[in-house]
Amino acid sequence: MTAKNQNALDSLKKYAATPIFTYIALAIAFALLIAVPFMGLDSYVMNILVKVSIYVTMALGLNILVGFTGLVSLGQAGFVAVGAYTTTILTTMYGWNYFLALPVCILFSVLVGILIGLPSLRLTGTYLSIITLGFGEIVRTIIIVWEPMTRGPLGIRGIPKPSLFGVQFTMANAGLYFLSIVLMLLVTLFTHLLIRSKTGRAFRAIKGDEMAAMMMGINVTYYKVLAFVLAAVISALAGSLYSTQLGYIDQNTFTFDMSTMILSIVILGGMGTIRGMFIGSAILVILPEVSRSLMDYRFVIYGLILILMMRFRPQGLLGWKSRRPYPISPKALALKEEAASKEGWSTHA
Amino acid sequence: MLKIDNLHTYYGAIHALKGISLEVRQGEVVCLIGANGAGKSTLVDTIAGLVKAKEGTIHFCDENITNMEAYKIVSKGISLSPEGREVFPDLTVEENLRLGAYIVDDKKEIAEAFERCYELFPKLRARKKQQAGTLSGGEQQMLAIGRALMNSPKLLLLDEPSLGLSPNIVNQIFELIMRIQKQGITILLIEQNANMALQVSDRAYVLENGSVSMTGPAADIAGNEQVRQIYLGMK
Repeated sequence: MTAKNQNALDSLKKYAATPIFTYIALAIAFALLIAVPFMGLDSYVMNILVKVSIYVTMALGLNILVGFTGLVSLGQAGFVAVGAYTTTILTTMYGWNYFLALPVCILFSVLVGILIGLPSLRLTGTYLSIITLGFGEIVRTIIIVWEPMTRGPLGIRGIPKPSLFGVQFTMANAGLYFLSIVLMLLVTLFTHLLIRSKTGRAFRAIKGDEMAAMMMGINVTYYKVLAFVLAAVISALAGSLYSTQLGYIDQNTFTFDMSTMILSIVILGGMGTIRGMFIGSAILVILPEVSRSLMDYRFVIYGLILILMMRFRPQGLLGWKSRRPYPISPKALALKEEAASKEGWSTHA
Repeated sequence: MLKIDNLHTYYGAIHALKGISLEVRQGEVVCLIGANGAGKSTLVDTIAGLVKAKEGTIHFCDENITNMEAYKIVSKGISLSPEGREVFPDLTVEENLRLGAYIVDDKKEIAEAFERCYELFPKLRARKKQQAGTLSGGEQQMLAIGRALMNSPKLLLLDEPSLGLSPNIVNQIFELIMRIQKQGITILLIEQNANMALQVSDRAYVLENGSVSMTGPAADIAGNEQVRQIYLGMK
């Protein structure tokens, strides 16, 4: 690369780091999201897009656990199933409105989140992951066995599309698309605010060093359970939307594959980043679609991608922020000089 | 202020503390010296609530805090700067300090604590947006101490603040300890560097195999023939 190109690249990088660029990029992305349904894409593509946004939401939920708090959950599909079945049973068997069922769905997933969060008080690392793995399977078994409620292995078909004031949110009128986008954006905004809050700092402190976090006066137990609850609620909401998109659910909708898929998105995109969830989900949802000809071998590719990621880019595709050099302002430099001369410290202690 | 009575702590079958009694009075710097495995860190961890005592009591400001949850002890006014620093490497200096003020709700109080901390450690101000993991060892130690001071503790427990630092930085750390004492904060200092520790302390306890073998004013301990031979390497 010539020096001139290098310069151009540098100035481009510099430009990309300014906040104005970020706002412009966000505005364009937002406009694109709204414009998509009016582009006349066929329903197959729209279905995939809805699936991508639902998986982004699930990944954002798991990211709170894995990315911020450092608790690896292998049973996220369990939470998704809880959400899906709660709303589906209420809407199909009891004729509730979808949006009325949502609060119940949240409440129920909070309870389940606490239930699964409690073992995390005593267990860490691998042991906790095994517990969550077991949880995912328990949920699946309950779905099979609890026939009066879940219709067992037959599954529930004919799940109605959500409707509000007589307007139905279907794939055809893009209502379902907008619903999934709204949920995704709300959860994105929530996560964005969460990491910068006191609670978010407590999460990240626990991930960094549990003992030191305790020494700051953080009730580690409380925050671990809270992380589980948040992940459970977000996944459950995504799950309830997912069930209306599918129109049919049974125990095979929420297998271990789904849990791995969500975890893979988080790892591929970059743990602890928000934008990573978007890229990770886009890649991992679309990849199997374009590689349908490979059939079952696509999971081999999946595994391969994850192994290669861990080897060459463990911070995830978009986990680059921590590598960016720190912008040191002239003011900070002056302060540093001053400090060095005052205290007689060398600047490179 | 801090009164420990006949404290016994076990790690499984290992009897780590064998009946320790100790007192720290308001405004003092008290140091604990002793060889590796004498029980210094165990004692500090027991005070902080990280390790549970089997027997004996710990009173802080006339309140029994024996075996209280670690995070609750922090709110009683005891802050620990742990051995090996243990800063949060992925968080910025500023976020680390903010976590130090986790139990403080008052925004004004937090701002004051930041000011105090940056005054004590001007270097941290210049590096506040930097990830803590990228700081040098000395800077991380300063961050750990600054973080422990963010919640305005009554008692500061300093576990091996000079560990792994160059002699030049060690000097600065000990200067800081005296400046912190001047702010009215009581300090319990645990050190391997007995020479330095005895110079900045008012009183000292010598730990040997889980019990106190000697105690008294720091100057007396420093002058003791046996201590000079074993801990200070002088004949």
